[in-house]
Amino acid sequence: MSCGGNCENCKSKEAAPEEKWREDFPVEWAADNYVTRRDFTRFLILTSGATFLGNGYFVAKNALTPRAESGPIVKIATQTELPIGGVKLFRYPTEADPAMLIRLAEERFVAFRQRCTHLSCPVHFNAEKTQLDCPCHNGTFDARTGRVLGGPPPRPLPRIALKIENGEIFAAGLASQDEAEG
Amino acid sequence: MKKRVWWQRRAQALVMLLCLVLALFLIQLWLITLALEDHLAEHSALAIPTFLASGGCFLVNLMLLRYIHDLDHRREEG
Repeated sequence: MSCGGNCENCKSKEAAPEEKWREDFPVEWAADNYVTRRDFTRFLILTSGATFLGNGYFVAKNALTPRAESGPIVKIATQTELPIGGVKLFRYPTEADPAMLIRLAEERFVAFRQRCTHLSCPVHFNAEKTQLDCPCHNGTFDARTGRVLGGPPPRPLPRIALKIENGEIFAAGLASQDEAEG
Repeated sequence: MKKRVWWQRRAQALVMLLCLVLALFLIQLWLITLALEDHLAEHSALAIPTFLASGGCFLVNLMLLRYIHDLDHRREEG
């Protein structure tokens, strides 16, 4: 007669090796899973704290960096220095801020910050199309106003206000967004 | 056997917590990406809102950590 493996004898025979094994290694799989998952959760929470601090860094940097809405008046070029369609690179309002002066016509000069408003790549003047091109992600801006013509940039290029006196061109702060959009 | 079931229950509870923590952490990653993009575009409008939202997520995570601590020190039920 077959018991089908359900009698006490069969059960004890099957259980015997497992019990020996458990004596040598008395760790439950569930307990082991619990510990590894708990440690991973703690690590995630630690990383969450680091991410929070990262966000704090941007707040602190914005608070500590002065806004350059009304920058100093600085001479950047003379009118005769640039041909029509010519570009002069300069730094304004600080040495860390690249900018470009463009002569669009005989009496028309414009200046913009050179950093793309998408991810801060330097933009270049395209005289044929009268636009500013960002080579990183193919963003384009209108060279007359700084308005976005295409690509991923979310905002117009910041425009620098210019003053022309006695044939000399001065940078005089950042133009407002509305002014830049023309 | 009871002990095994008890550990399995704890592990299941922890998996639930782990899913919550993971979801909050992914939200925080998204928030810091927003803040970084805004910063690179030389704007600051999103810095404080993302900071506050990230802080909220972190606080919830800390509360969950406290719960895990309680779970660790809970005595084995009979």
